[in-house]
Amino acid sequence: VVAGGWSGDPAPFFDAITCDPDKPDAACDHCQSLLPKGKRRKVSAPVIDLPLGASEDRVVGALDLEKALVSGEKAFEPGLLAAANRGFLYIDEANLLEDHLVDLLLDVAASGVNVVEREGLSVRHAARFVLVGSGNPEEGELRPQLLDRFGLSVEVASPDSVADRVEVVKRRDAYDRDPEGFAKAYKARESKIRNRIAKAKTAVGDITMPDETLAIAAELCLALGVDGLRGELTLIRAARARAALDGDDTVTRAHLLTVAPSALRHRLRRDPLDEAGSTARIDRAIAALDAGS
Amino acid sequence: VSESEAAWQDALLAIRVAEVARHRIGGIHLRARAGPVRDIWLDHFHATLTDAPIIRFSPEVDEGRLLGDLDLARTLAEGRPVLSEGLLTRADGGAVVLAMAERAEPTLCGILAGAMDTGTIRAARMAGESHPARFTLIAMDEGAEPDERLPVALDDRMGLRVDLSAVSWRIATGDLTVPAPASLDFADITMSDPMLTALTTAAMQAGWQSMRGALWLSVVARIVAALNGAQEVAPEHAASAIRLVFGPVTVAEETEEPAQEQPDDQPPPPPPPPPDEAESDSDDPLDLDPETLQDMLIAAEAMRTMQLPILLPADVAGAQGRGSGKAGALKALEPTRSLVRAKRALGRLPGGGPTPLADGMAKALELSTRILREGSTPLLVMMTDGNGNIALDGTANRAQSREDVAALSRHLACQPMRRVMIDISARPRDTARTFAAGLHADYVALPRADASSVSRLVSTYMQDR
Repeated sequence: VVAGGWSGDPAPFFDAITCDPDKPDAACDHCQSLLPKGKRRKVSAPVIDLPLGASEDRVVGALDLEKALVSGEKAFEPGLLAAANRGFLYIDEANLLEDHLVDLLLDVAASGVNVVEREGLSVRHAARFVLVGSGNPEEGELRPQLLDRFGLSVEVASPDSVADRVEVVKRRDAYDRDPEGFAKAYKARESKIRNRIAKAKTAVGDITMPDETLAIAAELCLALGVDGLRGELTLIRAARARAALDGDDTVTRAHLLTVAPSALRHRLRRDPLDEAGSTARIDRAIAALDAGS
Repeated sequence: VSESEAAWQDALLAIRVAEVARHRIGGIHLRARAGPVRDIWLDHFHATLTDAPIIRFSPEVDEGRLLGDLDLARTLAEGRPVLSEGLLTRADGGAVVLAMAERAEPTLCGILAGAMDTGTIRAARMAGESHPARFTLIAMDEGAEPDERLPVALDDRMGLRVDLSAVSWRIATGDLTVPAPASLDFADITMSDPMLTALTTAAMQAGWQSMRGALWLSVVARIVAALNGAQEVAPEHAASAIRLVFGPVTVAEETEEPAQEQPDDQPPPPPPPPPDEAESDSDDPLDLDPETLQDMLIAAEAMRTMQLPILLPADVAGAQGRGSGKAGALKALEPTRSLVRAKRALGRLPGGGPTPLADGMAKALELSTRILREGSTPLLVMMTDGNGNIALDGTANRAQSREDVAALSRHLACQPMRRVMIDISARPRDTARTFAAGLHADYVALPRADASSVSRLVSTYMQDR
C-alpha cells in the first residue's frame, strides 16, 4: 500500500512514498519528507526484472541527466533497486550475473538500504525486496554468499516420463494456437490458488508456534550442520506460512517437515561424495529424527 | 545422393523451415568455417527475408549497443536524454547473425536468451522501457577445438542445426535450391499421439534434458509436412525433423571403446583380465575403486569454490579385474565452475584396465597450455603411481610408454605452474618418486587417500598461490 501512481517506470514511482506509510518512523528520509502530503491508494506490489547486461546506473540509480541538462539541477534518478522496494526483484539466469552487480545486490539485500554516492549525489533510500533468482546450475553455480541471501530454494527439473513430456508439448502447442483461450482455461484454478494465498497472508500473523515445533527445527538444523541461524529462522517462518496456507492455526511437525527441504537444501555444506544430493540428505535427517523420537 | 548433397539439401530445407517459423524456432546453429559455401548459404537465407532486417555482429558487441544506450551527440544537441535504438530492436521481425558465436560470453548469452524467451528487450539505461525484439538467431559456429562451442544457454534455444563442413563448393553452386514455400499453414497440420510420443522419446534419448528438444521437433515436423503438402505428419517428415533439429551427426559421447588400433605384432590388452592377471607388473596395484574415484570430486569442489582452474589427470591403474574392458582410464578434467558438470565428467571415468599415463599427460599438457594462454595459472594434480603401460600411439608398449612419459614430463615441467603428484599406491615406491622428480612436482604419498585428505591437500595448494 503506497501513495502515488505506479506505472512500471521507476522514476514516477520514486516521487511517491515507497516505505510503509503505516510505519512512518521506519521510513527513509525521502519518504518521511513526503509522508505528510501523501495521498493513499492501492497499487500492485512491484515485480521488477533485473536484466543481465543492466548497467550499474540503472540498478542503483544515477544522476538525472534530463534535469541536469535542461535546468542544471542535480537530481537523483532512481534505479531498479528503488523500483523493487516492497516488491520483488527477479533475476533470470542469476548465475550469469556479472560479479560487480552481484556484490552490489548482496549488500543491499542484507541491509535493505541502497546507498548511492556518485556523480556528486549522496542518496540513501529503502530497498527491501524479495529476491527471486533462477538459473541452470550446469551453466555455472551461484556464489555461496549470494545463495545464502535466498530464503527458499526450489529445484525445477524437466519431467522424466515421456507421458508428462508429451503433455508439456501439447499444452505449449495449445498456448501457441490460442494464448488467451489457454489462459482462460486455467483462470478458475489460478484464482482459487490466489485466494488461498491472500487468505493465508492475513492469517499468518496469528499462527501459533508451539515450543515442541521450535525444538524439532533446532534439532533438524543441528543434525544437518546448517551454518548460522538464518536457515533456522527461515525454516520457522516458512513453516508458519505453510500452516496458514493449509488453513491451520498451529504449526505442527508436519508443516515444518514439508518446507524443510526448500528452506535448508541450499544451506548445507556441500558434500560432493554424497551422490544423493541435498534433498535426500534432508530426507535422511528427517528419517533419523523420526527413528530417535 | 552423396553425403555432401544430402547435407546441402538439409541446409536449404532448414532455411525454408526458419522462414516459416520465424522467431518461434529460436534460431539456426550453423556449423561452418568462413568461406564461399557459408556465404552461399547466407545468401539463400537472406533471400527469404526480403523486407526484414538482418543485423550482424560479433560477440565483442557492446551491451549498450545491443540494448540501446544514451545517444550522446543527440542528447547534447537536444538538451534532453535521447536513447539510441538497440541492435536487437532493430532486428525485430528479422534475423540476428552472430558471427563466431562459439566465443559468446555468458552476459551476451543471457541477453540474447532473455530476448528470445520474451520477444522483448529493455534498454540498458534510464527507465529501461521494453521494446519488441523478435528475431531468428543465426549462430555461426566456427569452433574447432573441444572447448570452442556454442554455449549451452544459446544452443538449447536453437531449433535448427546446419552443418556445412561436408558440403563441397561444387554442390553448393549446383542446381539444388531452397524448397518451394508451403501453401499450407503449419498450425493446421495434425500430428497423431503416437507420433508425438515417438518424437518426445527421441528427444529424451538424444539426451536433450530440457523440454525444448521435443518442442522444436514437434514444430519442425509439422512445418516439413506443410512444405510437402501433407495434412498430417508422416514418418518421413519426422525423420527430416530429427535431422534438422539434432543436426546431421548425433555424437554418442559415452561409448568409448577400448584401444582398437592395436598393431598386429602387439598383444592386445586383455579385457576382461582374470583377477590374478592384471597387465600391470606392479605387485601392489593401485586400489582405485569407484568410491576412491569420487575423491577427485573433492578436488573438483575445491576448484569450484576457489574459482580457479585446475588440472586433474586421474590415473586409474591396474585395478584387478575391475572395470573390465575400459580404456582411457586417464583423463584430464576440464576446468569448470559447475559441480554438476564435474560430477558428470568424473562419473564417466572408468576404473581399471590398461594405464595410458602418457595419453593423460598429453591431455594435461594441452589443457594447461590453454589455461596459461587464457591468462590463468593452473595447478596440476596427478594421482598416479607413475607406471604407464600404454604408449601415446595407443599400443601396449611399456618401453615406448616410458619414453613418452619422460618426454611429456619435460614439457610439463617447463610450464609455469605448480605441480603436485599424489602417490596413491598402497606401498609407495621409488618409481613414483622418480616420476615426480622428472615432472618437477611435489611428491605426496597418500596410501589411504580418502576424500578429506585429497581435498585438504588440494585446497592447501590452491591457497598457497
